[in-house]
Amino acid sequence: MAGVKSRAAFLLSLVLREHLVWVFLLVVVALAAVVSPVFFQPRNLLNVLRQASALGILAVGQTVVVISGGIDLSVAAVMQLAGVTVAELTKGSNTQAAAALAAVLALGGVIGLGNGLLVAKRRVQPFISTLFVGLLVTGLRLLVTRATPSGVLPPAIRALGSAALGPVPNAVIIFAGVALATGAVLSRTTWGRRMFAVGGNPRAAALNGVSVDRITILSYVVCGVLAAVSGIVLVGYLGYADQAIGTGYDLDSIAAVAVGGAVLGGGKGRVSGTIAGVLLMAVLLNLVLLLKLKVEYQLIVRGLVILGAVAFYSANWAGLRERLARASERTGG
Amino acid sequence: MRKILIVALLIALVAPLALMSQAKLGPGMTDTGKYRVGGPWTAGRAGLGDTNAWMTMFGLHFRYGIEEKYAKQFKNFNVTACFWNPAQQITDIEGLVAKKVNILFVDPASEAALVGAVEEAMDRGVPVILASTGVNTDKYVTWVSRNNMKAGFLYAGWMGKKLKGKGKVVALMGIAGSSYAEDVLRGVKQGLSGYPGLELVDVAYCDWSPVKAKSTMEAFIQSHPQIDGILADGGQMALGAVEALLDAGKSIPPITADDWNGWLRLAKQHKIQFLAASGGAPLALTCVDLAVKILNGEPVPKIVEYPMVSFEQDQLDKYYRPDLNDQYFAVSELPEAWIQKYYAKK
Repeated sequence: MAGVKSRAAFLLSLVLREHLVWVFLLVVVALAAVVSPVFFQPRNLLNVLRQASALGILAVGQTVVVISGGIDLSVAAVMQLAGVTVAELTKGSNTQAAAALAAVLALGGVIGLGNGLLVAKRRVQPFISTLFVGLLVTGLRLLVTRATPSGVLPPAIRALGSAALGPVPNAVIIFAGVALATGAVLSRTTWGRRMFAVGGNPRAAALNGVSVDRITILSYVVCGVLAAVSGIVLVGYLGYADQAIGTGYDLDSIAAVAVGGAVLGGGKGRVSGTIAGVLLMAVLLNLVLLLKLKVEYQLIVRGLVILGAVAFYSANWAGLRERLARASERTGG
Repeated sequence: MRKILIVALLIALVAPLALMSQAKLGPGMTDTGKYRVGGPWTAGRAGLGDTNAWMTMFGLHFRYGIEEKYAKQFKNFNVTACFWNPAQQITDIEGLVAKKVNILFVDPASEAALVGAVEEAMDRGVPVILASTGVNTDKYVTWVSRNNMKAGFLYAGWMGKKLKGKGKVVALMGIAGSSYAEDVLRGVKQGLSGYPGLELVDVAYCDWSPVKAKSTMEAFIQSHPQIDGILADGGQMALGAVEALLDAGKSIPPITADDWNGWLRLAKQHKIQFLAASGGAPLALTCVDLAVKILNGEPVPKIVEYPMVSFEQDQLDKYYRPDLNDQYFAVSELPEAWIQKYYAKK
């Protein structure tokens, strides 16, 4: 009996310590099921997952940078550049789609490399360097396209965001693939462990032989490439590339990472937490629409729930977690 | 005594002339005599930036006016972009005033926040022309705008006729809390009041974003089994709504939009029943026309309502330009050379 109790306390402690945002998400989903039966219709759930995919991919990239001790404010500009460039290069034709896709991913990587070099080699604050790289990218895009990009996408690119494999939207499959791969790299590879080490204490990491600069640069390159993927998925979802698509996604991605439990100073975070953060934001948006709340109440509800999720990481809960952990230790858990 | 007589005589001659010039000012007209100055002039625009297709078209009309239509009258055109940040726009206005521009165009990011900056510019002798959105002060020379309430009224009236006064409709509006979106919605509600059988079952603000419009429409499709019409305030939001309907395999009900070429392409492709109300981007050129009058000291109207053009699918071939990219707006006052330069499909 004591063993069962201690195991339960240990599990509760683990959940509260590591997966609190999932608990919060489950509570919101359960409430959604009660207040809006439409929410649980399969079509609606798939819609929510598809709507969350572009932000999810972006937030996974942001998680990598945040864990490594940085932040990337250029991601929305990279998304917009990716969407517009793929439309410009393909002119709506499938024949150039693969090459355009490769070019756009490379472009995202190059911008990430620029960010990484500025942060790692020139010691520019990530907030400043990525903010102004974003402005630079936006300015160059407007200059090259004269702010009038063509917009029409080839069917192959549209399919990435709109079509489905069986019942599951392609965008969701891409999101899941990106999240699983990134999560595996972060938790099971030397590269991943080094990212946590660099974000947690770069000096200690350097003393242990980790190339801090290389890890920092790598994190920004990954984020740049994923921002480009996210941009392509978003324009594919819409079926059209516009220069304004992706506006606001930079802050949304950081919010999702923070809600997911990552420490914005670096060294702590999980892809699974970020996924829950993204889903929480998407579920809330869908729910307030289904409930037909007036816009002011929509904003209040969304703000309160997100704040509530973040507040759950407060000191009191940390104290409870510690007490539960101690209890589980005392009873031999 | 002789001097007094001469002065009295001069006053007697000048006073009626001055009164006559006052008398020429019709109701709602602004006397701009004090702004008269020799050219060539320097113009400034504290703008919002090319944040979407409409803003780009709007900005091009300003540029065409200054750089080509009145190229001889203007020597410089200083443009700033605040990207909807009112604090930045206040700084931009102060900077342009410090540069001693002869005329200042402002397309405001906020009606309330810019009052002080606009009034300060006027106090320092720089005539201000408000373009599109207004500012909560009457201290400006002229304000050119589309009648947004009329647009909403037009949408509702068309929908009422299209659905024969019966059905359920949803509305997709611009930015929540902006006077623009609220005016359009007020017009919609007023128009729908004439059709008691027409029910506005849901309203959402999508910030003119096609992505938000698509996500919103996906939720509406789930929560409303019957949607007979969509009142979208703009072509980009209409595109997002239609994409959601197509994905869900639903038929496309009558929908309102604007004269954006991307929308017209989609409407032609899917044979959509629609009403387009022009967004009024060319009003920027009217602002430049008025600037020339102001700097020549000619009276101008305090408020100018830019006329709205509306058309339906039966006039699609007249307005849709397949030779141009999606970013073009059909109701334009740009010359063909400018249209080709910026909008021709590459």
